[in-house]
Amino acid sequence: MKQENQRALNAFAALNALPDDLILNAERALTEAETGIAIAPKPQGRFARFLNSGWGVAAIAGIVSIIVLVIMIRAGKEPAPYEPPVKPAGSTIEMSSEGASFTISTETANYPEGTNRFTVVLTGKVKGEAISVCGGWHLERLTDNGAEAVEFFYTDDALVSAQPDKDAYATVKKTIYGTNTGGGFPAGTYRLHATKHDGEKYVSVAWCEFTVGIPAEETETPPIMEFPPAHDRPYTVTTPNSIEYGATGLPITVTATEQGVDLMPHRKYSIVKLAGVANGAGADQLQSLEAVVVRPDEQTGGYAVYHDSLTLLNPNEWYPGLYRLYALNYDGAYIDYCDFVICEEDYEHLTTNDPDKTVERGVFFWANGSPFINLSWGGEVYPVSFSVETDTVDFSGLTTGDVVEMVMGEFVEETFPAHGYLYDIRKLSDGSPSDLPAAMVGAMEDMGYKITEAKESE
Amino acid sequence: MTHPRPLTDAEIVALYLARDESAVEHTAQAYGHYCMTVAMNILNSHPDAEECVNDTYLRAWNSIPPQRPTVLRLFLGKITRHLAIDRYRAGRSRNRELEVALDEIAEFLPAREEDDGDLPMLLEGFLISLPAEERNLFVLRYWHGHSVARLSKAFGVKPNNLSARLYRTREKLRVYLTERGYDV
Repeated sequence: MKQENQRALNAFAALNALPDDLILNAERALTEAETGIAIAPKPQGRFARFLNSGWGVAAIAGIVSIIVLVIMIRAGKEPAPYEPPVKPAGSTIEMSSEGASFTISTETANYPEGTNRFTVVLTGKVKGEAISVCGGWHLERLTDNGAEAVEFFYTDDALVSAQPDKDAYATVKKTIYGTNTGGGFPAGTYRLHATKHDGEKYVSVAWCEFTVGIPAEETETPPIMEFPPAHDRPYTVTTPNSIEYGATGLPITVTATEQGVDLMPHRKYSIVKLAGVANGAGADQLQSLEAVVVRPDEQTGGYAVYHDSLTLLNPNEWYPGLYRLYALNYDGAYIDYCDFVICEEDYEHLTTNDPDKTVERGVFFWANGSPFINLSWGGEVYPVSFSVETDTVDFSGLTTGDVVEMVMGEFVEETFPAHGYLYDIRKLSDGSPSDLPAAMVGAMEDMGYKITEAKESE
Repeated sequence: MTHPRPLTDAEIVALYLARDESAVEHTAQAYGHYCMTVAMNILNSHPDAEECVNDTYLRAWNSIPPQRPTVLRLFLGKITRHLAIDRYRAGRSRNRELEVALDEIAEFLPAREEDDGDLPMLLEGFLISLPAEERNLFVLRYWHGHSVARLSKAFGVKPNNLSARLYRTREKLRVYLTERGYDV
């Protein structure tokens, strides 16, 4: 096998450590796609639903509190203070059936409060013997009143083993995933116990601590900042002028100045959420991207820049047309937008050499450095976009909002006029709605364009 | 004719814990086909895949206890995948579709060959940052080893489009790993 393939196979094998939920979700998506049957989460009984509900948790907590109180009253003393286990962090741990022993340690895990997942990297090393990890892990959260159990979980340890290297050390590096279940992991200190099975139960044999919390830099007092007036629009969203129909990716750049922290004034970062809203045939389409964290970067002059690729599923879901992309803050309020056009595949075929002509009327726009026209066709509004470099049509003298008449050649396809051959564009008026179908005016106004000032026609 | 109620994961695991050999039989009934699919995607050889699945049952028998998996399907799937990769690495099988996937993986594989212990954690962090659909496609292609043809048919996307989307995801991952010190 080629060396490259051996290395690729190593990476392929490394994916075995992906958490279960990622793999299960992917399998569920494939099954749903192939069968068309939505797979609902495993149903729970009424009692289980109650236990998982807020009322259930409160009821259990109340019952436990009463029991503890009764025990305390009957015992007549305060609860015993928390006593840490005898074995200190970094102690040796016997973990395998072969009797090998090794040391566990963790990398401190600082994760923002509210993060629904954390990882702890455990490393084990032993001299002279092959090791294989087995056993379980018991996670506790340390509080003023002692340690409270959080979770007990097992590892897929049968898959983790190592042979001594040239220095006679066998090393295992294992990532333990903590999953946010039943209320989540609040910020705090956690103690992870490595356990072994003594034949009847799992007993703790070593432990190490790590923290989950707001990163240290975020706990500093934020600087007092002057927020700009709203009309300064500190956020800008840019996209390419147009994208060819059939392509599936659209790079989007969101730029936010540091002043944008008015979205989250007590944090050093802002969360920007992108959502694309389609016009015309795709008006009911709304594609949201997951919220992302954008941090100001010194290398970009204090700007927080987010760059992503919006995947457009052509041709079934996205149609040629004018789209408006909104950048939203995490509350869902929009902070800026930009327009872009999805073109027909063969718009570059526009030419002036065909004898057959058809006249269509539309509104001229100039956006993001590229001209395009929304024109009416069969009562619908369709955009036609042009390449400034290759088009032979003279756009000079036209400004955004002008009503124009397009002289088109024979249509290649009847569905969209942009498949036709363009001969000429003639300016009719400076934005007179009387020259346009009512449907087009309505669509334009829905998109925020005002076509209200009728001026003298040419 | 009535069929017996299939056992739940907990019931099958309980059989393992009780050292009841019928646990293997129930495992085969419940997850034999799934394990076979996992193995076939990698080995593309029915006899090899069958051996691999049988080894999976043995490995499960030897692992439970002390292990007590909560999602038996994935517990078995991971063992099968691990064994199948070992078998493939030994050169006993050839799989053109997997070779293609490996070529794709080589694009984001870090150049360094020494300790790649951080890679799984980084991959998880990267995948969590992706939209669900993109993440699922990546996992289905590179964890399960499903072919582009099957995925494109399932999701109603042209093969070229699906390949392009996977390419963009790999490109994002390449940038992600590079930013974290990997020489990709």
